[in-house]
Amino acid sequence: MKRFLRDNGLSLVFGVLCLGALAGQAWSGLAAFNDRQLTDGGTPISLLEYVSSADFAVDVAENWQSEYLQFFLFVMATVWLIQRGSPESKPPEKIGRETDEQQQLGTFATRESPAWARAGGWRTAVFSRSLGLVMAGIFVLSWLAQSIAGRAAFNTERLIDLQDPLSWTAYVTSSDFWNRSMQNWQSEFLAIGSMVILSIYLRERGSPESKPVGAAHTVTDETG
Amino acid sequence: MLRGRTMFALYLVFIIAALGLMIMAGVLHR
Repeated sequence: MKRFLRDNGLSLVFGVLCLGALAGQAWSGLAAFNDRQLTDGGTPISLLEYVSSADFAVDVAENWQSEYLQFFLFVMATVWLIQRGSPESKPPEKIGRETDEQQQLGTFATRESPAWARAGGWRTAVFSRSLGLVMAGIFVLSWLAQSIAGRAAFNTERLIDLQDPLSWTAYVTSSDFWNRSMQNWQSEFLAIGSMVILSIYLRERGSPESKPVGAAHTVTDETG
Repeated sequence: MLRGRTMFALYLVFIIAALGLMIMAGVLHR
């Protein structure tokens, strides 16, 4: 058990932080929602009603989609683009998909290589892209969830103002949908760019996201 | 190895289940 906790510290801590923040979002979101209900002459709702509402779902989904878009783009962009001096980048001579030798594929696979890496054919082709595919898949699903829940929540607001509800196609071209998307995207892109560029000249001793403290600013692709 | 897979499966199940619930919340919204 102790060993399990140590070996999975990162995923456990961030999982618990996520659930805690989600609970905080539910609690504070309910208070804000009920404030609006009262000023609009409506009746307050329960926590259970709020966490199963489209209002809560769209707020969660719009943040999720942007995070998965961010990591999907980062995973894909770092195959083809480099940043000289950044520990998040590989060196210029490795730009692209790299050789089978570098990727331990085909005759270069070892006995410890995953079965789908040793299989060859379509299995290896799929497995070679599985991280990007899954991140992209979760992004598309979250963005879809944002559009469906966002439309439902937006239409409730419109009905209160005695306006016609929007169809799904009208909603995905609406300013509400794109404003929610863009305000999340801009911060994610800035964060990725900052991480890439700040890690050239700044260090965090012991972090694999940083270069070793004594590494030269010009060194690319080193972790310490 | 198996223990690493426990967290891998937990994360994927949580993400897919939560996305399903968010989509349902939007579809079933009255």
